[in-house]
Amino acid sequence: MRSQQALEGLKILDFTWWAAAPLATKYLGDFGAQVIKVESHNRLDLLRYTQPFKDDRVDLDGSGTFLQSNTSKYSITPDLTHPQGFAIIQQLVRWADAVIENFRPGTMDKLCLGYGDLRKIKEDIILVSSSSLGQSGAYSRAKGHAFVAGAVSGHFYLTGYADGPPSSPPSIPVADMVQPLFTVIALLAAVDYRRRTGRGQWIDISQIEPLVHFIAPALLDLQVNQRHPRRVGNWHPTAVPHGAFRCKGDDEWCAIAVFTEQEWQALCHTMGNPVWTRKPKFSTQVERKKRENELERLIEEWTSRLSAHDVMERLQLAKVAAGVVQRAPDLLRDDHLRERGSFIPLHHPVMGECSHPTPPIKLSRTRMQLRTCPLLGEHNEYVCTEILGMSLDYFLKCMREGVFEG
Amino acid sequence: MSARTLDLTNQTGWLCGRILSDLGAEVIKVERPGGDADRNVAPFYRDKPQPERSLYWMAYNAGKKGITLNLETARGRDLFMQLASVCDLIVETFPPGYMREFGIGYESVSHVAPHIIVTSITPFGQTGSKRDYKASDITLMALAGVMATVGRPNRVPLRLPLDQSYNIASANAAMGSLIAYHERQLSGMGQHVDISIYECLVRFNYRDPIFWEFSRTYSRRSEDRSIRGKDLYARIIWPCQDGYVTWMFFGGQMGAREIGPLIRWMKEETIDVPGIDKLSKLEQEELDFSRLSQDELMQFEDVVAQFFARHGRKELQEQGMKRGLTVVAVNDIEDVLLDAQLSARGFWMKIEDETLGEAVSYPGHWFISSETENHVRGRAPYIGEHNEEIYEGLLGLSQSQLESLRQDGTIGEFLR
Repeated sequence: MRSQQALEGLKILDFTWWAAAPLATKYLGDFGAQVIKVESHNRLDLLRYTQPFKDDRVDLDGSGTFLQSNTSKYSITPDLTHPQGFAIIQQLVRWADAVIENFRPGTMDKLCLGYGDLRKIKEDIILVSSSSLGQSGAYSRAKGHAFVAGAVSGHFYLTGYADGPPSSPPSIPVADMVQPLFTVIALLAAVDYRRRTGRGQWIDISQIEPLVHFIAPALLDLQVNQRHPRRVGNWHPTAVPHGAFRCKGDDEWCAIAVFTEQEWQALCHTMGNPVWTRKPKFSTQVERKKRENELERLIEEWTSRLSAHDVMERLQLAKVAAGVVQRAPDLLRDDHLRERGSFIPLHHPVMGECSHPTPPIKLSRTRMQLRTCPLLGEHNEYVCTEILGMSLDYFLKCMREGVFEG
Repeated sequence: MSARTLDLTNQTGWLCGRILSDLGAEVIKVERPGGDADRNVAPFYRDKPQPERSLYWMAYNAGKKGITLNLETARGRDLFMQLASVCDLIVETFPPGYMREFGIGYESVSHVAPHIIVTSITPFGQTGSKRDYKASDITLMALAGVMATVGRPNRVPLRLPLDQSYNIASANAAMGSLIAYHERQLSGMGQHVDISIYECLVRFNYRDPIFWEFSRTYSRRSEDRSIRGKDLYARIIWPCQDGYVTWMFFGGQMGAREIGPLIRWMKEETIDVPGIDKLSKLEQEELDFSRLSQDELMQFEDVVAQFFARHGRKELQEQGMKRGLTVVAVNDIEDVLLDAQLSARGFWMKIEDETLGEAVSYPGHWFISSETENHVRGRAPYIGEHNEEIYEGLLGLSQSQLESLRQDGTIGEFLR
């Protein structure tokens, strides 16, 4: 028997664009949900304009950034201001289990596609509204993006050196990566609820709230210990050594973390038991913690003579947690990731064969099958004829009458 | 959610069960007799390092029930199988192969209970050449390419704060569990969900691999700046009088809409900010990031930096909001607790804890729904707190059987 995809049969009408939410519908599509992405030339998904492009040529169908957040979707471009275009959307609402959008709060109402409008079309519809600040509250109408969530949630404040400013990874908008996970979780929980009760719902998911959960221990620490959590770099409350250590070469590092006495002994052994490790001032975890700066300098004398890979391999043999500070090129040639299919090569009509990132969730029985991202409006005909059951003649008439953009 | 879940996780997977519990699932945390080893994760309530005072434990096990069980004995395994057969989902974080060694791996469990979903969270997954590597948050952040970009050039690369890799992996694990649970409604069959923390972080580090493949570039450490395009680093965190704010130059129309109100604000205050004329040009000519050099960008930024430096973070946020500017205070942790937007959305939940003798505010919902509730259900369990409820109530054991399990160490003594 052919194994199915886990979300086969789930139907998603997708109005998402830009940053975070397209990643949520990508995950749904990659696991087999039918995802129909509604796009507009007038308000094009900015990801289609986003670098990098194949051979540096700007092409709305050639963005690598668009590709990685939009696999396994269908793209349609009905003109929502055209009565027949809007009628197609209404038909798709009737078809869908869930509608997802991430416009600024209020925009769906203006499009006559607010939750109340959708319910008139389909009583038990699920609407998921994804935004930066949420649909309600003091600042809901304000503009937002992932960096706003980084600032409000405390993540910026806690990231960085103890003697430096709040910081952020330059290339990872943390909220944009975290929110989609909870968008999918909320949606699947809503589908489960509808199965049990027959009722739909409107889900309002902000970028800030999931991120605040991610610093919960700091919030408890402040309340019960009156301690103001601050930036601490790589410092850890108990582990020692705990940090990244300079290795041979230019900007080469290996991270090492030692939590137990056994791991400490293994580290000493791997370093060749230098005399300093036997000094009484380093004899217990408590003593080592008191002098961790000195200790970590001494360890770096050892690591700086070796390549980062050498340090990692030697420590792993001794069962000590160690990891090379890798960069993108290392990831694309990492055996482990290749063995687990983290990036798979697929052909795209404009970009050619290129790596497609897969969801980091491996299911033992059901299949995962990625399709490359859609060209703009690629599936107008497929969706109208195969999904909505229009005749080809009628579809072509719609095309001629400007029901579809482009 | 009505899925009953057995939670056999250490710190790396706690949050997965917490998310499921918040969605309404009954989550039973299974600890070894005496309690989870990771109850020793600092910080602690009033800084007393005791197993029922770990704030990490409390935060991410809130709302679960707690039982003790020794899986390394025959009687313990037998009890585990009985529990598994009345559950929908098991979440576990043992090293790959550990559960199989004790006869309770996915194959054995699914033989007894084919409907069961087992979600495994491990540093590198159940397969692959790094499968048995040792790891902790910082070494995973390093390998995944996150650390290489956090911090300042010429200084040590940094991890993100507070073990974020475990949160990210746990959220992926909750998503994977729900995907498998959805499928089970149709097929009646469970399956094994294999989550590798490393892969979750590689996906989190979404941008650099694709840039490397398309343009042979990747981002570098730039501390308080964010990369735009291939190699332009734009300031996103700005010092002000009493802290920091977030704001950024946008290109195109979006940028022009931000810069206009900012220039008017600067002029209203009639303080002399050198370079304001240069900035004013941006109102008419939209900023084209693809043609901008790092030096030109930093000249624009200097003008704005001087203005921000004369104001407080709350003032900049409130005034900015009124003027349609996306300038937001970089909250410290107390600011987060007091944030007006979070409070207005009813985010915080007071949780009573009788041994602590005080109520503490926990982050409440993950999202807001017009129909269902999702939020923390109560404090984290004490060691073995629900042994009677689960073993007697759910499995139907007698008091004397339970007593015997306590005596022979299968569930251990109820120590406080």
